[in-house]
Amino acid sequence: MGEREYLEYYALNRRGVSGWFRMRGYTIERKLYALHRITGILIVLFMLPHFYSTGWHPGIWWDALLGIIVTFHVANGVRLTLLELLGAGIGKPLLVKKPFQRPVSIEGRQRYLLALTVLLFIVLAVIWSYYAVIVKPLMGG
Amino acid sequence: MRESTKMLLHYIAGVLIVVTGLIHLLANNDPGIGKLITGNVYLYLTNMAIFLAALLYHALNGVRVILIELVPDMCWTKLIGWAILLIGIATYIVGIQVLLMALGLV
Repeated sequence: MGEREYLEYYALNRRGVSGWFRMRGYTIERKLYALHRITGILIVLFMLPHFYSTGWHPGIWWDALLGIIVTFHVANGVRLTLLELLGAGIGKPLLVKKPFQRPVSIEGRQRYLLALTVLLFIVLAVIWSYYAVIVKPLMGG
Repeated sequence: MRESTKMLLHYIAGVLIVVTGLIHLLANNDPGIGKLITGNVYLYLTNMAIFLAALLYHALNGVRVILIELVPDMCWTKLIGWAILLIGIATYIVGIQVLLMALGLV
């Protein structure tokens, strides 16, 4: 298969949604990519009924779960914005050293960015859960 | 509009959601800061109008990207794009109407 045929074959996206969960041989960013999509879809599913009935909420514990979903999407979104839009941590182009070259994202600045993302996610999720489980019931909502 | 411009707007909308969404969450969940925000109806309304627009763009563009990736066909891509745009505009109008009714302005 030539390069053009190879690209056309993969552009057909034969794996569909199951392709998101193809983790073997990929770095941890692949898992974040799958989770980002799933959390994004879940947020849209929450958002639409919330639009039409502004007071609608799934309940205290489901609100806390919603917090985990939203804060993950936000934390990973911040990482993606820094990395893809602003180019933070991308570094200079390297010569390809086949076949033993490790992906750049495994070490260096991108890995620190990933660690910061996880940290930001945990902090935001704790704050959201505190408001959902403790503050909101005290307000009578 | 080029695909790269749509994605640039996707990132900008994402940043806007973080800012306006934080204000929205504080307004509805924090007893202290919430009163300051909800006390000024026009501040709350402006924030919600921006939040709603940014959220709808970001969410529906995300759905569009997933759909056109699953159905990589130029004809379907255009159709999905227009359908998503119409759904977005309709939802924004309904959302603003619901918001104005909730604030007692209509």
